Amino acid sequence: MFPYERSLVEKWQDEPFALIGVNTDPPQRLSKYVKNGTITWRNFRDEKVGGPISSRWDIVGWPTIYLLDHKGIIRHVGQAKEDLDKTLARLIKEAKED
Amino acid sequence: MTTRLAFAIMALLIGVAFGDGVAEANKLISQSRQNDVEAMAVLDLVAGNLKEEGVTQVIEWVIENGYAQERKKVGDLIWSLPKNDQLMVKYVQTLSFYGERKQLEAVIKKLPNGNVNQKARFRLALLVAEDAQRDLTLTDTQRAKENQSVVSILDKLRKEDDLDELLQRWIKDLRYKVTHLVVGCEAPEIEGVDQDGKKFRLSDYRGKVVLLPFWGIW
Repeated sequence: MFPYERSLVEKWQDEPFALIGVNTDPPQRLSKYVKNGTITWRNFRDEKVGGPISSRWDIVGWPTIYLLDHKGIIRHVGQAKEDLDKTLARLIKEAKED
Repeated sequence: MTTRLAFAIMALLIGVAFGDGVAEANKLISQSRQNDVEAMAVLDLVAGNLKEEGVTQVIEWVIENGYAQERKKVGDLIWSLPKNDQLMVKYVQTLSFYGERKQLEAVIKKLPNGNVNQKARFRLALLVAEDAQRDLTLTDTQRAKENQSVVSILDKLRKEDDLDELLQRWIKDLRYKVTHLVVGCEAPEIEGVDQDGKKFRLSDYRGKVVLLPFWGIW
């Protein structure tokens, strides 16, 4: 599970980039996946579908992906799995040039 | 099995005996659980006499189960039915769900005030907001313009003093969404704990590009 996400974390580890999840699983389950190496990024615990963070962000489909630039501006919102490499590369370049 | 067959035959006989549009329509609807019934055929059965008792329920079924062509025809017929806000709200809701913007605008024009009009305007705002979010061909400027038009529909609407509570909440939520959670907005702060129970904030990562998936394993 999540090979693409893990590859992003690895690929951009020395760049101004972070993958931060908002996870809707019970904490024990999340910990299990962190311990066995499936999850290699930091997460906010939201603990359940419709948890406080997902509600505040009005998330109605999972997974929903937000992409923020280095100033914290929302630059992309996506529902499905999609190739974000190009967009990420462009935003990271922007961050480094700023 | 035999009982079901007997009922089916009975229904058929009743329908034929009275030659009544609503009975025929309901017969087709009851079959739809087994096969696909063409919603247009159901609609055609009642279109000739909209005064018949039970027509409203048939139209409601067509709204729920029809395609674009049936919705279009319902749009022509619905104004000849006795006034029924509940049916109109269902129609408006369905139009919004399927992105039928022109028909939604037609309802707003034909019903210039009242609860259905307010709901229709809210639904139009929702539809514009969703289209703007989904349409990847829009530039950031075009998207911002669409979101601005959502805000202006909502701002006009929320000033009206006869809004019901549900609408007030919907308006507030959608307005928050298009002014805080769409492309071009500054992301709302998140304060929480990570998998190790350590407190942190989303804004700790300013200066970095952040990919923020909302996810779970089920």
